[in-house]
Amino acid sequence: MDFNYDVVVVGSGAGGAMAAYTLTKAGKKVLMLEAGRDYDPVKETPMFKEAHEAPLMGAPTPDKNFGFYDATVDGGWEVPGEPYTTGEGSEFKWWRARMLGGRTNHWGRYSLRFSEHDFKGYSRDGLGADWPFEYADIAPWYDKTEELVGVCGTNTGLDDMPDSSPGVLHTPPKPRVPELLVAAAAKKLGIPSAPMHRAVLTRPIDNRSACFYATPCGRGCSIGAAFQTTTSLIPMARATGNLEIVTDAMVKSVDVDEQGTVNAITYIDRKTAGSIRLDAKVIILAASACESARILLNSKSKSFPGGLANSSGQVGRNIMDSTGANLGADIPALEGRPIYNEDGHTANHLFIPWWGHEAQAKGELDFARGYHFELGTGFKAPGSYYPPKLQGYGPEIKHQSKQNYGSHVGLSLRGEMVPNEHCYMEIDDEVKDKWGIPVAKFHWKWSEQELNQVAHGLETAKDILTTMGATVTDLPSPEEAIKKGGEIIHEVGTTRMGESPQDSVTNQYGQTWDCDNLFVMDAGVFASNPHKNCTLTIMTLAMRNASWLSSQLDKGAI
Amino acid sequence: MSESYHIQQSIAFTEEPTRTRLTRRQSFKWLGAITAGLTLPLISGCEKMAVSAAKLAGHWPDLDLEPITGKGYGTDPNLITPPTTPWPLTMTAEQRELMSVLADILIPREGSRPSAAELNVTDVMDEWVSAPYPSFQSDRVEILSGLVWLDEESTRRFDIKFVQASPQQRLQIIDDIAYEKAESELQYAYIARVFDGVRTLVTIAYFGSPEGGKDLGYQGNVPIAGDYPGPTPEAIAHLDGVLEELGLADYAYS
Repeated sequence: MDFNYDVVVVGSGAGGAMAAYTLTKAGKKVLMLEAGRDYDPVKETPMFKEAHEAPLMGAPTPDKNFGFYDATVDGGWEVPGEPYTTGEGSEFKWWRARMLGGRTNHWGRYSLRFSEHDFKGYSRDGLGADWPFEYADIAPWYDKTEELVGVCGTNTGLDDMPDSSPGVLHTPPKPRVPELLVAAAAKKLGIPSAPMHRAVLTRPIDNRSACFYATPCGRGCSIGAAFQTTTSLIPMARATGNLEIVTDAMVKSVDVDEQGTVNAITYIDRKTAGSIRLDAKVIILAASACESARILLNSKSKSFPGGLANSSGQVGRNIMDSTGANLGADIPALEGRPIYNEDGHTANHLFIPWWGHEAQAKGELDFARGYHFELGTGFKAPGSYYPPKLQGYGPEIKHQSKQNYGSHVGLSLRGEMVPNEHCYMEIDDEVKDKWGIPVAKFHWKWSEQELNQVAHGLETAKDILTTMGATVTDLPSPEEAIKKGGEIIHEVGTTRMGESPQDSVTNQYGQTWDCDNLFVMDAGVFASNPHKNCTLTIMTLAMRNASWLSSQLDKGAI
Repeated sequence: MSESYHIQQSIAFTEEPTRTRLTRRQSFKWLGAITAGLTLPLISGCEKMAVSAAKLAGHWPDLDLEPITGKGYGTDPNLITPPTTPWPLTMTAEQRELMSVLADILIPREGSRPSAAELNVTDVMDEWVSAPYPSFQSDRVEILSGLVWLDEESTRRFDIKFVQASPQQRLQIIDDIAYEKAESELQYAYIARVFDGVRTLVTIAYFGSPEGGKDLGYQGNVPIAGDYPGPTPEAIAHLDGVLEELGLADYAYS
C-alpha cells in the first residue's frame, strides 16, 4: 500500500467514523478497515417504497430480520458464515451489519445525553463502576458532537436530561395526538414527558437536507437528514484527502513484535479469503463492543497469552445491554379519530424520560437504575398496520380495521442494567467462522435489578394505559416480558474504561493500559450503560478521544 | 405485541369440551412472520392436548407437505428494484381459485372499491405460502390444510366443493367459523383460528395495496417542505374531547 497512514481505524460506524473524521480533520492520515461491503445510501436507500412493492409485503424474514426495506446489509441476528455461540442456559442475540457505516445506517437515531448522575452510579449505589471523568469534562464534547451530527430536541431542565448549550439543538417536530394523550395521562400520574432527542436534522447543514417527514429512517436516508456516517462523517473525512478505506476487510488480530509492542494488524480479504498483514503505528478498534473484544481476545502472543490489552482480565467482561419490555393496548377513545399525516420524523416526537431519581435516593424502589419509555403510536403506513383481532367477514372487518386504525398505543421500556458476573463473552474454543477466526461465545443472566425494574415498568405502563381508558388484563411476569440479552442492540462494556489498570481495559481516552498505541473507541469502553441509547455517547467519546490522540501524536508522546 | 396469553381451560382439566379454548397466542402465530420482535414460547403440554382434541373433533386434514427449500431473496437484495417473483409460486390453480373466493368473501367489492382478489391478494397469499423460510412454511401447512377443510366441509354438507357451492351455502360454513364463539366450539376451534390467520393476512394485503391504502385513509409517505405541521385543527378538537372525557383536560401537555 503506497498510502502512508498514521492511524488504522477498524470499523466505520459511530465510533470509527467519528475517530477518522476527527483525525483526518487534524491532518492525520487514516486507513479505515471495514468488514462489510461499500455502501452508498444516496443510491441504495428505498425512499418512499411501499409495502406492496416488496416480497411478502416487506415482512421480516431470516434474510432481513427487520423487514425487507431495513438498511442492514448481509447481517441481522445472523451473519452468513459468521456464527456466534452461547453458554449453556444463556440466550443472547448479536445484531451485526456487514456494510460501510455499520449499524448507523439503520439505528433509531435516539440521542440522549448521559448525565453526571449516570456517570457516577457506583459512587451512589455501589453497583458496577464509575466513569473516569465528570459530566463537566464531557459536556463541551456533547455540544460539538450534537452540532456536527445534527440533533433535534429541546432543553427541558429535567434532571434526567442535561441541557445542551444554546443554539445547539434543532427544533423538534410537533407532538402527535396519541403522544399528547400519553403525556396527559402520564402527567396525571406525576410522570413527565419530553420531546425526544433524535439525530435528525430539522434544518439543513453542510450537504445534508432537513427532514421532509416521510419514509422510515430505518431504511437509511438518502438526503442525509437522519444521521448515518455514510452521508456525513465518512464523506467529510474523505474530502480532507487524508482517508483511505478498505472494505471487505475482516480484521482477525492485532499483532505485536518481540517486545510486545503493537506493530501490525491482520485482516481477511472477504473477496479472496486471503490473509493480509499491514504495519501499523497506531490502531483504533471501533468494530463494535463485542467485535473489538473478540479481536483482542483472539490476539494472543507470547507477551499477551490471555489476549491483547487484557492484563486486567476484563476484556469481554461487564457486557451490558439495555433492558427492554413492551406493553400496549388499543385505546377506545382514539378509535375512529380524524386521520392526518402522522409520519413526522417517523419515530418518537415525545417520550417519557426517567422520573425516579428522587424515589431511588429515598430507597423507595427495589432497583437502582432508571429507564425510559418510547412510544409506539400513529397512523402507520399500509402494510405496517396490523388490524386487531377481527370478527366476521365482509364490510364489517374493513369497518373494524378502520375504527381501530391509529388507536393502538405501545410503551417500550428501555432501561439501564447493572453489570454482573454471569454476563460476559469469551472465545469459543471449538467454533470458527468461515474465515477461520474463532467466534465469540456469550453468557447471559439477568439479575433482580433488571427484573424488578421491568416489573415496575410494566405496572407503570399499565397505569398509563388504564388512565387513557384502555383495559389491560393480566401483565406478563418480568421474566416473560424482558427481552433477551442483546436484543435491544445496545451491547457495551466489554473493554471498559476506568481509573486503574487493575479493573479496566482503557484509560479515560480509550487508550489501552497495556499498549500505548492501541485504542478502543466503540461502546466497549462504557463503564456503565445508562438507559439513554449509546450512539451519541459513542460518537462524543470518539471525538474527544481521537482529539486527545491527535494531540499526543503532535507531541510525539505516542 | 404485549398481550399476555393464558390458556383459560384446557381439555385436560375440564369435562366440558365446549369450554375448551385455544389461546390467542396460537392465532397470533400468523403474525409471527410479519411482526418484528414477536417471539413465541413453546406451546405447553396442556395446549398441545387441546390442539389435538380440536383437530380430531374438527376433521382437520393436517396435510403432510414436502417443505419448499429453494433460496430466499438473500441478505443483500436490491431494495430499489425489489424482486417481483422472488421464488416460484406453488399454489395449484384449484387452490388459487378457492383462495380468491375466500378473499372476496373477506373483502368483497364495495362500489368503486375493488375486492381483495381484484387487487391480486391471491398472489400475495401464494407468495406467502411459497416462501422458502421456516415460519412461512408452517403457515403454508395451516393455510393449505384450511383450504382442504373448506372443501371437505362443503362436501359433507352439500356434496359439492366450496367453490361450486352457492354464495348462501358458502356463508353457512363461514358463519360457523368466522366469529370468536367458534374458538370455543371444539369442532370449529382449529379452523376458526386458521381462518382468523387468513383473514388477518388478507386484510393486511388489501390495505397494503395502493387502492386499499387509500381506503384505509393513510395520508403519509409524502415529502413536506418546511416544518412538520402536526395535528390538524379537527384532530386537536377531537383530542380535546378525549381529554375531557377521560378527565385529563387539566393535565394537557404544554
